[in-house]
Amino acid sequence: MQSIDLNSKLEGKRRRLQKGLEYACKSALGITALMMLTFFLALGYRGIGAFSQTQIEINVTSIESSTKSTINQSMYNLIKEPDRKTKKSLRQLVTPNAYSKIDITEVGTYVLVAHTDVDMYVKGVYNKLDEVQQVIVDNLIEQDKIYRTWNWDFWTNSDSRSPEIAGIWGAVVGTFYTIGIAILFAFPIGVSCAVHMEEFPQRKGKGWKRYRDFMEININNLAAVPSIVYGLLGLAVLINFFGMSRSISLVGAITLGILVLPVIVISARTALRTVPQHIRDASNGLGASRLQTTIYQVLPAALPGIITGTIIAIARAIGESAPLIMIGMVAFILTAPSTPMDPATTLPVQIFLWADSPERGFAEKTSAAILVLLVALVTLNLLAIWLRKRFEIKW
Amino acid sequence: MFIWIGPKQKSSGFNEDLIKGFFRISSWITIAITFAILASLSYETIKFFTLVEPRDFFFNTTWSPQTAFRADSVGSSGEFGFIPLIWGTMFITFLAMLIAGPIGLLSAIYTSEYLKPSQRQIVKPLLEVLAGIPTVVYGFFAAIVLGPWLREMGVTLGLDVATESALAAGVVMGMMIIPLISSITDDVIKAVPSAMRDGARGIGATREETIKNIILPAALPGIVAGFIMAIARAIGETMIVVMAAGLAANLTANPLEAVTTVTVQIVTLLIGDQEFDSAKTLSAFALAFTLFVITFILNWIAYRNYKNAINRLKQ
Repeated sequence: MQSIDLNSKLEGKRRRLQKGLEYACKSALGITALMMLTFFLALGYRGIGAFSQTQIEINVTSIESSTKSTINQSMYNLIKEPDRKTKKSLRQLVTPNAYSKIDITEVGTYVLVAHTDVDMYVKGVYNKLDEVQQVIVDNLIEQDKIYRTWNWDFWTNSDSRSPEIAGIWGAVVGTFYTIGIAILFAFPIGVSCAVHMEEFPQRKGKGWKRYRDFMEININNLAAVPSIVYGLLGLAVLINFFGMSRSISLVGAITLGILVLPVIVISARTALRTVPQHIRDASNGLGASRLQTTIYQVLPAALPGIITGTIIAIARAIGESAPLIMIGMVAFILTAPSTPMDPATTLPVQIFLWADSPERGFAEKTSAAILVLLVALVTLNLLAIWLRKRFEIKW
Repeated sequence: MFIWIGPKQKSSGFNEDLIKGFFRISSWITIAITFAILASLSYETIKFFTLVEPRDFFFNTTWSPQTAFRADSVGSSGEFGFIPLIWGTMFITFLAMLIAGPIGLLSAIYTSEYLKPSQRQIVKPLLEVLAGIPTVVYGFFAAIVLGPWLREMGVTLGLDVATESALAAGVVMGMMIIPLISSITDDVIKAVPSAMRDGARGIGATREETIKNIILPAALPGIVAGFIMAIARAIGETMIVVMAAGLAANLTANPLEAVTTVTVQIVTLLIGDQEFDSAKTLSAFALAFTLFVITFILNWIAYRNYKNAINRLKQ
């Protein structure tokens, strides 16, 4: 009789295959991690600069007829007797929009936002300054008159033609309007659709079975339709047929609401299915109607799962941009929208617009906006995971 | 006072029916959405086919939708050949699957077979979070980081790489669908009954032999379904290719050259102002309809396979 040594180790070909697969699997996961690390590091490295802003301190010694000429005059004072060309270089050190934000009526020291070229030079991204500007900027840095501070403009401003003062506030407000309205109607409709499919079994019979199968296929297919098709739906039905105006957040909200509806339905159905049958039987046995059972017993028990699914759906809607581009939410928005009927844009679309911009100063804004978006999405996802862990009911 | 209680007894007035009616109407809304998609797309598509022959659309190999302003000038009608677009789409999808297929599958085997439950609880949510990254972010990465980087690498190797190469779009799309594939595959492998696993290990098979001979064959239909879902997702993906792939329709099998896709063309045709009677605008709807049909068929096959596979494993 052959005996087996239980302590013997695997040897030869079998061992090599065994180890080989393990290492292959490990390295696959490693490659995924590495790719994602490169991804985040590249974005972080590019975007971190946008959170600081370069500012110039100027001494105003004389008040001119307008704020613009006051600023220009005090810039000219940096050099003794500048000629025309030098004057132009000096003027271009501050952002072209400087005079619209600040009103100078008294002599004193003022802080202005530097031009994007100065900003990029200070941050060491690229150098497009001419010789005069470079000398002055170096000089001012030594005197501590050019310095970098926290970039509030990035958070409180809307889009702009000048990268140095462009911000995400308008896009954030647009996102809130769009996603808020989308969820406001997608959530009740989605949950009631799930309740209808799970809790109210239709009568027996071939026709009813076909109806249920059709609903099932319909929902699963809707969840898998490419998002751009929803954009075309919004364009053809809402804008072309119903004549709603382009670019407004209401149209975007309806389109995104339709887009996330199947996601909510599917997660709500899964949540309803985890509620065990004996809860329903007990409630029915006490004389509650099917509706009362559903509303007082099943829905509260399934609520954590439904909320988790909805948060994931919100995250999906926040990141969506293709359908919004189709319905014209790619407009250039200078001020934050104040009602859902105003032209608006959302954060991902703003990213798309900035990424397309030829102005190089926008590259860092794009990465920074992406970082903001990713932080928001990761927070939402972690919140969903935490909620699932915290409120999950083990039956 | 007595109330007669019986099966026909209504527990609470009329609003019972009202609320039930609301549930029913909500679920009919989802059906209405499907019909709205079908109706709007096919309506515009039919209008398109009155302007352009279906034969030209499906079999022509040139795509140049620009219609000239003067009716008698050269190329006034525009050419709407669908072949180069679907070729570009398939090509980028193929490149993406080349990357995401093996990596996604192997990662899923690792998370489901090798990791301890406690480690799995950390890795799985991380992969879920990755699946939630917006595609516009991947698109930016492909266009601004990977594209120029591949181009520089091509220069040092003496290769001519287009800035908007199919390779950059394909690689990044692969990155995007790795979490999708690994998550579905992981679910399927987890659904393989542990009796099969334990049986194989019990008669002395190594882990590798168990996975190769027992688990993967059992899970194969589900895994295939997951791959088909991933392909459907890649075909319908828009932002990555809009930002990283080219605009010119190009029938090439060289991953270093630029190709265009169906979704890129839909976006380019419809961005900005459009009038709803020109063949140029309507062709976008014809493209979208084709896209809808392709993804519908793929998803339907995948869904049926997946359901059958899971049900068979659970028995």
